[in-house]
Amino acid sequence: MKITFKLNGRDEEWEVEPGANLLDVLRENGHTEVKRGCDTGDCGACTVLVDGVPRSSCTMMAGQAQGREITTIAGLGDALDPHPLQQAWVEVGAVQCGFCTPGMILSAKALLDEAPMPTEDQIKDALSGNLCRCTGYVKPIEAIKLTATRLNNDKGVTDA
Amino acid sequence: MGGYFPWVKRYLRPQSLDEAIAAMNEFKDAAAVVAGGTSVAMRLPRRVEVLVDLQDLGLDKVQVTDAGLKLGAMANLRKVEKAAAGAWGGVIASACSTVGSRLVRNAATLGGEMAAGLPWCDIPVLMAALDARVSVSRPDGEEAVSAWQWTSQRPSDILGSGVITRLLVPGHVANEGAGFYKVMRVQGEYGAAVAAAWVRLDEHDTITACRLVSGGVSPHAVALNYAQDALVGSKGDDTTLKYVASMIEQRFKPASDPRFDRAYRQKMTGVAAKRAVQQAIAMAKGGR
Amino acid sequence: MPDKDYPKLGVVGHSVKKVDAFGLAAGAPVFVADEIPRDCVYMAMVFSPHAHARILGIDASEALAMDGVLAVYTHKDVPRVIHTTAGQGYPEPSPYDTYMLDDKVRFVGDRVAAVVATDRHLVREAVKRVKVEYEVLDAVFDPREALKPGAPVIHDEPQARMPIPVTYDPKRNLAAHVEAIVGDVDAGERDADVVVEGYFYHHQYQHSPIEPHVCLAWPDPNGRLIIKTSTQVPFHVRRIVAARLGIPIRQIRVIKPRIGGGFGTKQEVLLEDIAGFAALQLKRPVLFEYNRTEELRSSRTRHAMYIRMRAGAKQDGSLSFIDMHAVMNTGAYGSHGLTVLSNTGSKTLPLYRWPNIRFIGDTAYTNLPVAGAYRGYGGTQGGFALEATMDELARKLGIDPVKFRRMNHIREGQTSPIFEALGEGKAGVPQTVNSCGLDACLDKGADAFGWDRPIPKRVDGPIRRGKGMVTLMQGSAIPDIDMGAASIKLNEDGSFNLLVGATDLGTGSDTVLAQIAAEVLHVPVEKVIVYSSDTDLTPFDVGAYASSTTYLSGMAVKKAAEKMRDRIFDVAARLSGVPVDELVLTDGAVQAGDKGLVTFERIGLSTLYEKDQQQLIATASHIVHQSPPPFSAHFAQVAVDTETGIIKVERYVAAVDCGQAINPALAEGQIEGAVVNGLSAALYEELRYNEKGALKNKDFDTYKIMGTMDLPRIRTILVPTHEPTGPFGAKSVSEICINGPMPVISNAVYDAVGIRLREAPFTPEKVLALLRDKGY
Repeated sequence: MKITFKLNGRDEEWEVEPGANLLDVLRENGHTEVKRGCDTGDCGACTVLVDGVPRSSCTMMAGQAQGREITTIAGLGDALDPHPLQQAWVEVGAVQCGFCTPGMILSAKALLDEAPMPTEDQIKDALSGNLCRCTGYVKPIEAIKLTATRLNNDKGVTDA
Repeated sequence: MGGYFPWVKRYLRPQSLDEAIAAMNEFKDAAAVVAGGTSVAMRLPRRVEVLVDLQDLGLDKVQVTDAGLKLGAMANLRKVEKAAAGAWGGVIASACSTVGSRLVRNAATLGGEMAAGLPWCDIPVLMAALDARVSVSRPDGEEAVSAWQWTSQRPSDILGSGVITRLLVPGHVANEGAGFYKVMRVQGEYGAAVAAAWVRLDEHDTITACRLVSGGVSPHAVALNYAQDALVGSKGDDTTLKYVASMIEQRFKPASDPRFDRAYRQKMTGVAAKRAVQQAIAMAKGGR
Repeated sequence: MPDKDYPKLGVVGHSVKKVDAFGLAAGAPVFVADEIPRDCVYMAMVFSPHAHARILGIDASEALAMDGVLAVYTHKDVPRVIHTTAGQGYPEPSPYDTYMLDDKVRFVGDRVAAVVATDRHLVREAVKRVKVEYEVLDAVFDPREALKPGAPVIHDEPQARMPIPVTYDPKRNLAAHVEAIVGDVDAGERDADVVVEGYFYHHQYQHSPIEPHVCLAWPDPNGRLIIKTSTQVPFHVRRIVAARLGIPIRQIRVIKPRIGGGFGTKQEVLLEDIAGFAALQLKRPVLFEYNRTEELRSSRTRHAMYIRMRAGAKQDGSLSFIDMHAVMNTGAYGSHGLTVLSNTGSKTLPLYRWPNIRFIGDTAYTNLPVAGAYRGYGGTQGGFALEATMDELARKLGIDPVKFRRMNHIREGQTSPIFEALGEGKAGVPQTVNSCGLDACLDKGADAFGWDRPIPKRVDGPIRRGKGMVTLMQGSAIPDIDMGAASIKLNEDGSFNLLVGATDLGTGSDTVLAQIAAEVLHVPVEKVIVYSSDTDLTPFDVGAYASSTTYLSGMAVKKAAEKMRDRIFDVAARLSGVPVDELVLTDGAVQAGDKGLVTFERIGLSTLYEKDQQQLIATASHIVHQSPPPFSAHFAQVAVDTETGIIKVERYVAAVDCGQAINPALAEGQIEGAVVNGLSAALYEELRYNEKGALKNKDFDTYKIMGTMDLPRIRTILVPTHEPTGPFGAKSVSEICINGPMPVISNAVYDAVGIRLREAPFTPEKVLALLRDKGY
């Protein structure tokens, strides 16, 4: 069957099997920025934004993407033009092996869109589905706080 | 592992409720609803050849009305957690917040929780305690089923090929309170035990009516009738609650699973019930 | 404390950005499975459903009849070379007890047959169609039972052997035995005023890197075998695969791309042999990746261990003796079965000045999934028993646990007989502690935690709060065994290529090594381009294990960079006419007296294009003769729900002496990651089996690892010291802190409710049972 959707801002029309999940379909189409860690919706490595809301793509049927706007980490920025969250992640040392990082950053992006100055509890809640075995979460949480402060300062300057 | 179901032949996206119901009724056992997708995309029986995705039906609204809280079946748990308002909003949000991680709650829907019939579905436990009405659409019309029915039947037997469209949580009356408690080591995991309670007090803080439901340990919610009987007429004091908890421990026969052993779950069902009742009483008193 | 040759540090000691971080943060296709060749085929394994069985027959006809199934390999099809999967020095101190495929299976999840097909879903279907006939044998799961006469013999193959001269008796299921005796424990006991005694159990859990094991193997156009694999030990992979396939080492190239975490489980050769075999047979790229269930069950795990402890002290707080007896479960194969056992003593006992010591350990084969290297490596198991015992001694003596540690811990200039008595497969190496910041760790940690202040709301409904502390040590590299090497070459823009065998598995070692080279050469870290772990292109390194990379490979890099500096001086002297001893290194250039600056760019251009052309390149190797311990003090506050038995860790402080932190942010990251891994293991994680030895918690639904919601407030404190034998004073940091959480929770729970948790993990069931006994 065909699905039409927006992927990182571009219109896409893909032929997919009706019984396929979104993670498989994304990776088979070259979107390996979406990582695979558990296949049961428990690790968050395969997080994508669906209309701005983070969810695991391994426990989502490909058909559910129909008409939606899907954002992967590639839709945020790349090594040469990083998103402020990617920048902060690198600066505070929140990237270790980096396998969980794309998913975590996408969860963080959705959080900051909803709560520009999140509390620590809000940050923990937002990252609750993204497992990381390397960092102990301390530096990723710090990276989100840093980004929030920066974005709000920037906003303050433009507003003034 | 990892939802890939080559045996699925069709993926339907009905544009109206009638179309959805017709499809469910045509394919019956060979059809499954895709609500949030979190259960379906993980495990799907080989008999299911048609997936019916309900996302285009606009069933995800959360509204506070005079009749009570109207919760669209396709509203995801995160949305419910944020939007649930009114007197019962707090306990509903608190229950939703214990289900899985944020990534799960962003996907899993209220209707999916009611329909899945898995031991770890916590929402039916609370909905039964709140005596919510579940709107089920069938070819011959819409039926309002009491969520209390979830305490005696498997969801699949209640629903058949019907589609859940909405839940209505009745309005709050003075002196009523509800509570929800889940015993878990890791936030969001499937609980060792889950309980939800609803109470009504008289002017002397005596419990005049009570619903107490346990979950997390069997394929459907379980009404703790004997405990309810023991609570009515009491003030829910420590001695009564201790008695109720020990009664549950003696009578309740939960299943074992890879994380918690049976004896522990049995004991925790009592603790969860006690704590849910304590919350309910506190709410009922506080609402005065 | 400055290094005498480098009084002022410009790059080292600074939290420079991790060199590969932007690509990783952008999700770049840098992991093995991210770039699949067009003609790639997929391998999946038929795994044993029985804990112990002989394979009578395998019928693959139905699988082979499926369209797209290319091959099914059984023990009859592959080379039969006995080996170990453990990627350690050569000869490995692990028994040779494993075949690529065997006619016997020894645990539920053991290899039976390999299937290759054109599609990753299809191959999983085909696996289900392979029919295997088994003769089921009696199985044994408890290591204490396995060592008893009459237990089922797991390795009855006559070829099973230990490649080094140590005790090994597979007929008794004995995979290893270790003994170290110092002084006379019986005399020590007679001398002691107080004696404590108890059994401890450290359970089995799994590393759970978010990227499971994965390997891509293909033949190059000339028939060489290229293996791109998620490994901690690329050079060991090359050697071991060559031996298993019976082909020369020169025919194999191993490439390590970015790795999605390892923690020890990727110190094993688990996929590469058979994927490589299939790639050569089929002449196509073969991808073999584990799913989460396979990672949990069929990779490697923490060695479970029973430890019996007896220890005594005098009323004045001085120590009298310690008697430690460990029985370790290595599972169906003996990977790291000797060395983890010996490290149970060697990475714990030297921490305190025991006059009399007895350490005896046995490692048993059982029919459970296989244990292997895991961050902490014996120090975790031994540390649990030791630190809980120290807490018991302190309580019995009525001495504050911090003060008790202060009275007895090892200090600079002191030695422990254990350093010499316990090695890794051979005798240990005597060493004196050159650097020890443990007193400062205790000071700063206790201060940050508020050790001397009462705990707020100690009793709160059913909740009881308490505090606990521990001290810890580990090592840095394996003395006289490990070797790391590095090459560095100059480019015409004044930048350098740093080629290292060392393996960055996400730890940041590429960055740390680049910082070391940049410091020596007076350039910013951006001018050092690191390429690591490619057996065709980089020098040798043993790999990422034993807390060795910064300390060992870092010194190789420092030496190589210093050689390069000397080559640069030679050229600068020729170009400027100023003698070498008058030259000074400055930022990216050589200051040649009053002749001005000779830039590295000028030197690079000159040597590559102008005159007497040559490539400036320098290589250095490094071995170490000691393994300086990092030290650490941990403090934690717990809340115990006395009705549910659920423990929450609320606050955690880790103060760590890792010598000079080359990159403080990355060092903190190692500490924080290790602490959370340790907390998760102590509280939540355990591989659980049914009565037939089949794993029950096979996914992250039921095998829970700690996420953000249960995270305590964690405070990390780096306590700087200077280790004279390490690069710029550095010691290791990666492993030590995983050893803290289990004993610190045990000690804090005792403080809260007076029960001693001796069996990990600390499940609510166990806690509740002990609370009931205590009258709660």
